[in-house]
Amino acid sequence: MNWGRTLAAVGLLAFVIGLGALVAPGAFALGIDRYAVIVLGLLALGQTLRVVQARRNGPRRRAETATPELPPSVASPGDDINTVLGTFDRTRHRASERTWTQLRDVAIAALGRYDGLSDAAAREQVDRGTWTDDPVAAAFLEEDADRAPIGRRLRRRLTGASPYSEGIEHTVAAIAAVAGVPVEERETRRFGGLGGLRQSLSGRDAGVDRATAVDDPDPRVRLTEHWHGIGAVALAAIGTGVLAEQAAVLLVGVVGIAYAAYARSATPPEPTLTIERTVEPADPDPGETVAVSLTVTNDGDRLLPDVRLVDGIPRALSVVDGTPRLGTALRPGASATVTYAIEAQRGRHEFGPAQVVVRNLVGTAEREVGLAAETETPVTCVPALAPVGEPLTLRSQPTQYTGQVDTTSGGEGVEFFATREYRSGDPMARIDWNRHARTGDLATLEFREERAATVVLVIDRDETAAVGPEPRGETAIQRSVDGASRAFTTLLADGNRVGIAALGATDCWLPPGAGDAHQAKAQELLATHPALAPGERPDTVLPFGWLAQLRSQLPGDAQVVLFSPLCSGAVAQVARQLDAYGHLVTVVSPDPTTGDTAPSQLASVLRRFRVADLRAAGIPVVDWPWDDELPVALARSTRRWSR
Amino acid sequence: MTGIDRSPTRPGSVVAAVAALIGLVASGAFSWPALGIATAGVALLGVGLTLVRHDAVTVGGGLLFVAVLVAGLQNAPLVALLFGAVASVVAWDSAGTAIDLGAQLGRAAPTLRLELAHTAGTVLVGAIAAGVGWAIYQLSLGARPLTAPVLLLVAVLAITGALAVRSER
Repeated sequence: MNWGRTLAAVGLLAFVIGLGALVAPGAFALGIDRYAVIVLGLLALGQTLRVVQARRNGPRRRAETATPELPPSVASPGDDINTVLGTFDRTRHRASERTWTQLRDVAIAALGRYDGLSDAAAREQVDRGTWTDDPVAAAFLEEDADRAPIGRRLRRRLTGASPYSEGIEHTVAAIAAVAGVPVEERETRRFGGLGGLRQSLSGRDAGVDRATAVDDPDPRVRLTEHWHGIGAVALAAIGTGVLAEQAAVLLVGVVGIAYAAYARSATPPEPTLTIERTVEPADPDPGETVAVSLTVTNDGDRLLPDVRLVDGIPRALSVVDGTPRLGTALRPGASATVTYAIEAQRGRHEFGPAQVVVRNLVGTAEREVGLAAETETPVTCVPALAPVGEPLTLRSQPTQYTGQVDTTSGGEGVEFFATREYRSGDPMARIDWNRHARTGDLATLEFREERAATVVLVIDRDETAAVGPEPRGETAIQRSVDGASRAFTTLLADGNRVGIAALGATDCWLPPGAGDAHQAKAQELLATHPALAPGERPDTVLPFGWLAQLRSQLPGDAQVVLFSPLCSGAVAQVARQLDAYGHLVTVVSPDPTTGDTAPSQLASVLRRFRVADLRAAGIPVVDWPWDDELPVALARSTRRWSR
Repeated sequence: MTGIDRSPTRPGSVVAAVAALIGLVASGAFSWPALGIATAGVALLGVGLTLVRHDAVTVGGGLLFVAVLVAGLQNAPLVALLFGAVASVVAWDSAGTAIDLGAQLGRAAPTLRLELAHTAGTVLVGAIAAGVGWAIYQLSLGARPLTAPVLLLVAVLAITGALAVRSER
């Protein structure tokens, strides 16, 4: 039984008879009392209020559109203090005390490392609260942390500041001070002016962050409730008109009835659309602008009065000009085109489905679909390999190929190494004639042998490496890939045999080799391998199974250069294990940490711990500050090592 | 690039502003209280469009319509009332659509065709309804039978009831 239909039919019947009564008064004389009219007029106004109330409470719905224009958001190294602490200490403490216990341990470790205190002395200082000048931090880590002075507790109550988060902030800042990590003024991201007013009033998030369209959105069909409450217009006019006995006001209700009837249609049209996309050029250089043209055509035989479309831009790319959005009405067979420009970066990028929302003319119902183009138009950007421009110092190690690694054995080379007694057969040019003139002895000069190394560049692509200091900037993984590509070029040009691996990705493996074909393979792998694709959020890597496989693939004498932001203890552990297995390890570590929030300061402190531990274990670490170029960081490290 | 401008689209805002001003003139010309209420309605519509608030837009549109009723109580001519009523609905509808479109596609996207089609539909329905209302008035000029308003009332109640049933489903 369809109540809606019945009511509508009754309504229409009453309307028709009412019109008849207007046209021919007397024909429909029902003899209705004046008081009844007043009651009904009041009822109408009451109903108006109810409808208005329902409109106030009723939800308005619409498809949320993605924001594919923007590059993907990048997590900061310290988004969550518990995650950061978890990278320091994986012990399962009681949940209520975990953060506190771990912070204490970090503080004690920092005091031990930077103030040279013994473990017991540091523990005592923390227990007694004498380790820092900050009273809040000192009190926070004391054994009886809860007994804050009554005055402070009262003030906290009044100001509403949570003592817990306040305590954590102060404690982390104090630890950072001990470790010598610069603490920046916290940057508050606020919206200014009109935008800020809008934000504070509506409190709604501006669109879905980066969620691209999906093939099968849910729900597909949605009533927008755009016209919800339009019946109040008719009811108010008729109620007022009847009570005031004003025919003109009464007849305004006809407009309301018409709109209420108009808004009754609630079937969204079928999206009989196809899209076609062209990109120019399809194989750009990094940073080059790619022009995209998207054409949408109505292939059906009915008008589509309301088509809203957002193109599915590849995840890692961002729009630099124009807009990938279009709102239009399409007659059968008609098409509309939108053009925009995106900026290319390393990788092979596929376009996703375009998010399409079609509404009926009145706008009461919408249907949402993900629409893919029939022909794929990938953008493939393979950056040219560029050398570092600064000698990349590998660790001393002999192999049989000539190359650039200094060895501790004398022989053929350019740098003086030692002299030894002449043996018959030594070439004339290597005899030390000065010495022969001075003493009459025959001696042979030996030069330091420089030999080729076998090097495997390992790129950290753990979830903890997908971080960066800017919310929509580069990640440490991208930095690592750039660094690895430059190191690869330099090392290969120096005559080494170079291979590539990605942490945790068994299929991303290029065995060490040399030559032009090898270089081309490496270029392709670094640019397009899915494990290194920019914009994707990698999984957490459990590196130890992968490590076993890497060891079986690594040639016995291979050196390893690990590119990692060292945001995870497990990755630092990988470096030490590889080193322990006899592969000489060098770590190049882009630094994604910032000093602007407490968790980030803590991440910075913990990263310093890891760098120091690796260096103490004899593994050279190139600390690569975010704002510096790789050659600058390398030059600084080389100076440090030669000192 | 920090984000896209998701404020209401330009064409819809312009249509809403024009319709609101027509509504203001239509009701305000015949009654001082109506002029005051309509001015408040226009202001609220403007606030709603500037601050992206659906509720302000709805209250603004509602005030414009209340101004029409007030003008009607003070014996404004039916033509002005019908103009005012249609204009207030068009202003409210365009403003709401502009806000939704702005949120979905942003201000920079080309949306003119879509909004013209939508507005044309709304204006057309209003024009037909106003024509019918005016015709009824001409036919029954002077007469004020009780039966007719009551039946019309029943009709409206039933139709809105039907709408309520549909939207609850």
